Amino acid sequence: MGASAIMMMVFAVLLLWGGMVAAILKLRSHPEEPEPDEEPGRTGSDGPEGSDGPQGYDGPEGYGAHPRP
Amino acid sequence: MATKPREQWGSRYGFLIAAIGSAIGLGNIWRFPAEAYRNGGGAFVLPYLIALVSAGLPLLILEYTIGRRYRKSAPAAYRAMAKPAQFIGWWQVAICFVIATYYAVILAWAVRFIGFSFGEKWGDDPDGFLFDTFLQRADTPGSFGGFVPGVFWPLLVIWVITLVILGLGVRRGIETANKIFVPMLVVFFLILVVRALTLDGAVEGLNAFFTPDWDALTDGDVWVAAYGQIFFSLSVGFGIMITYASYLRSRSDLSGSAMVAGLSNSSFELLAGIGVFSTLGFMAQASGLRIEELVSDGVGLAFVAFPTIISQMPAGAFFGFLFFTSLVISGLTSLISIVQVIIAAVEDRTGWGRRRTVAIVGGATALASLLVYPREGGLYFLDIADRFINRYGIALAGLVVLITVGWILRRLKQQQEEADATSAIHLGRWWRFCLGVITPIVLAVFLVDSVRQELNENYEGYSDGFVLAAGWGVAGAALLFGILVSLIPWRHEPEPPPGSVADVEKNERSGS
Repeated sequence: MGASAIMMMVFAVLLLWGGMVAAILKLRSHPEEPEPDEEPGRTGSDGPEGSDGPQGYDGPEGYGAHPRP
Repeated sequence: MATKPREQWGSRYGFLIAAIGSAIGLGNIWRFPAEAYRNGGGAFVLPYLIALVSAGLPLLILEYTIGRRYRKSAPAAYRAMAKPAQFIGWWQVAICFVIATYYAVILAWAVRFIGFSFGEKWGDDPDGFLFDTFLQRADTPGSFGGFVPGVFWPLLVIWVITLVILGLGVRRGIETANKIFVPMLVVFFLILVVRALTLDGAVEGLNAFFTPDWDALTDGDVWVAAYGQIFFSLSVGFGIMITYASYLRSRSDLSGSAMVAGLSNSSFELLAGIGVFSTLGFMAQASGLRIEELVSDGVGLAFVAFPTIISQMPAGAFFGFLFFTSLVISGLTSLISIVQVIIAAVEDRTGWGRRRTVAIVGGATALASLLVYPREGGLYFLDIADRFINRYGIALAGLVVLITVGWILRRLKQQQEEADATSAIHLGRWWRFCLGVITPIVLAVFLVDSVRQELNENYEGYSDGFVLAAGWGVAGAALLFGILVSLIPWRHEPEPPPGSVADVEKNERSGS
């Protein structure tokens, strides 16, 4: 394999795979903060099954119920 | 009135693995390697990286911020930003509908080819096997022709699996499926690449792939190709990432997540390039042909070139199993995300429950797919729909989003603050410059050049009528759908709760 090809392969691998690893480590070092008003048991909820709300109604949930500080 | 809490991802990992599963798809495996090879080889790394940093990642972050801020699917999120902007979301929903219908059929082919790998059913003529025996392709495009059971039944299975996963919801369905499939894909594909690297001739293949042609960097087409590859590879511009981000919690790290998702997608493409070109290198030395003659992409690479190569190599069936299974998995996780855009949009618009929406809307998408594509004329419709919806759907809508959000509504600063508020990595002015200037210019250049090509000669030499109806017609219908649906008034417009994001924005709009 030519020298320039090896160089570009190493360069690409280091930047992309290395970059991915660095990004993962950076993200892991920033744990997710808890919701300001997180209720127990609400985390990861899928919502009630099969409830058909009225047509076109979003409800307060639809407007981003967590006000910005 | 009872309101349903919005579904949420079970964890940050769940969101990330789903976003990565969405981004990694057929294009990573069968588009990137040839695209890189033809646009400078090793030198392509440079424009590719610049495109990733100046367009791909900024767009990804923008979609995440829109989704997370408004906690809504694409149409409702754009509508919350500004009522007339709603049409963009519905346009993206229509684009997703078109793509989902044909994307699924390619997965159906891949499923069959897993089986065909055992015994190398394609025989001596993989090309003839694919187009004549398996697909029963009609001689000329234009009519649908008869149904092809060999494609119809696996397509039905693909749709059943997809709709069951979507019916289970974001956490139990989409997240769980991605938590299983994405690691499986990585393992299978790694084994495949390692196997490819051990083949005779692999080094020559890698040499061909990575040798830089520096002159290519002065060619504008190469830069457009780099931006195009990043854009189409990352699943940005058609509402998927807005939809997925709408299930995030309010304190999620957006910029960091985008970096992980974007770099994972690119890392996988690079791996695919190594694997594909090692394999082509093997083929070159086995057949005596030069690598330049063997390079292909898309359907031809996956379903003609690779079968040819599988027939030549020892333990080819195992290789075929790994390769086609990887195609199925990568495609399935992408298909799920595409259909979810439609499901989420209808759920938000109508208030219907998830299962009802999946049954009706998902079912309608599946029905359209089953009616159009497993037919003798299906491949032609697929080919032209893909071409036109990618360019005059995804790319054009992407440009419209950037002009709307960046220049008309001037919301980039607000979205930047949205991301910075909860992300370890803070965005700078460069992010707004990338989205306000660089990316729109590149997309505009791409589209102008594309239109010029259409006017010069019909795509693939198809007839005027076919190009008009099945190409422009499909792209135009998607846009028209977006505009028409957005004109239907929303009933029961409730007042947003005081202090909420929507309330603040509503007050800003009315000047109070």
